[in-house]
Amino acid sequence: MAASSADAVRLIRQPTLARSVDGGLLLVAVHGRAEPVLVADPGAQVWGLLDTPRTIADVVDAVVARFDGDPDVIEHDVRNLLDALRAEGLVAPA
Amino acid sequence: MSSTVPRGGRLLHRTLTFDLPGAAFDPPGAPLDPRRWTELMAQVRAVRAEGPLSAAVRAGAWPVTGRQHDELAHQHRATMALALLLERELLELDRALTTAGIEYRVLKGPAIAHLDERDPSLRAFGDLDLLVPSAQVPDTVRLLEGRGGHRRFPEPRPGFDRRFSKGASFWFHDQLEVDLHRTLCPGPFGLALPLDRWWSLPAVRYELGDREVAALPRPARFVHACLHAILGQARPRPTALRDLALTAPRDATELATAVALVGPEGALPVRDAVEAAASLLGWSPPVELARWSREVRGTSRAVRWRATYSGAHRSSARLALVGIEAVPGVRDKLAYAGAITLPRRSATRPLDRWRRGAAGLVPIRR
Repeated sequence: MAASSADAVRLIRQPTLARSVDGGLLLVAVHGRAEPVLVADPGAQVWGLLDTPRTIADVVDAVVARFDGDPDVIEHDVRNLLDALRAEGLVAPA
Repeated sequence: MSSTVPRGGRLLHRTLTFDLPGAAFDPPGAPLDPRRWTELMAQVRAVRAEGPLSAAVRAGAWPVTGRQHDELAHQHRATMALALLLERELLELDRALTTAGIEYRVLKGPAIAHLDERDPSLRAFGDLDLLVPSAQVPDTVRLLEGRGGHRRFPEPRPGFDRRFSKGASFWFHDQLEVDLHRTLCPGPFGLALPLDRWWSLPAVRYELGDREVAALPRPARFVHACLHAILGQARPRPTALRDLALTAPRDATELATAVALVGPEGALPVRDAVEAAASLLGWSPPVELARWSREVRGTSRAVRWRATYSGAHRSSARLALVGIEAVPGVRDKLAYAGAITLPRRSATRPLDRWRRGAAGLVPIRR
């Protein structure tokens, strides 16, 4: 997957309220009016990684190290997840 | 005590002992049949007890079928989503109250979830309950109304909120509910509580999102859980029984603090709540609390008041009338009696007046 300038941006979790539920983490951003969203278990681990600022590549590397699977597929999934988390106001550039 | 257990209640109480110190967890040996499961889920939904059962299922400690698992998981997610929305509202209220110089303590579920449960997902809640000092109740009412809150019942007489009211409930456009409390329970016990002692205790603060919110210290959370469990409705509230077991005084100092908060009359309902938790949850209170509880006899006033909260004769009208005895001073008694028996005409809608009147007539007709 081709890298872009956006890949150099370090992302970090935004102030969030969370609950552990069957199947993952239920999250809602403190600021704004977004509804709670369920982040399924592997995604919840990505969420956990973003307690410190990381680039997309950092996150992908960490996930590849934890999970078996095709790195390209993992990267694709991580990018989609991070896009969704940004859209919900749950992560943002550090 | 079995007569106080609602249908399906025994199973419900068994779910509430999961991860509860001092209680033995007793799950069924196999998944419940569909009829019993449906009954249990109805009970769980009614009292918002999804947390312990969900945790027990996730831990593999309560056997379920695949369908039961999915139904419970869905229900638990829904209650937790509501809890998160309420907590976001709490953060906004914290900002607004702090800016306005209004002191508050968050009560019940939101505080118990973060301060007493192993994990906040064990405690669901359906509204926000805030205690504010009597003198700041009118300002808080204005603040909540200014934020779009619709008051469920108008103030019966000017000044009633500040002097006598238990509090007021507010609905917001997004269906969230905020209950404002001046005191900790309805009726005479609420009127007789030494509230200055409650406010003299330093707040406990816990982190929520990007802020800290203020709650009562554990002995006060325990007393409130007891009062809510036993006086909030005619039958003991199951989730409040778990709350009181989680917050029970751990040593003589905490017990002394708790006892000082209830005053001479309030010891009786606290004792009854401890006994209800022991009986219904199979919970063993800490030794010092158990000893204190055994020794409580209750004043004659407390025994008389206590009877008004239970059984078929319970009504808010009756609690309000008995409350006259708990109001100190002749002038205040007269003001209180006038407010509850002759509210301003604009303070009650016709249907409310009829309902209150009908409720008050029940014990008279019998």
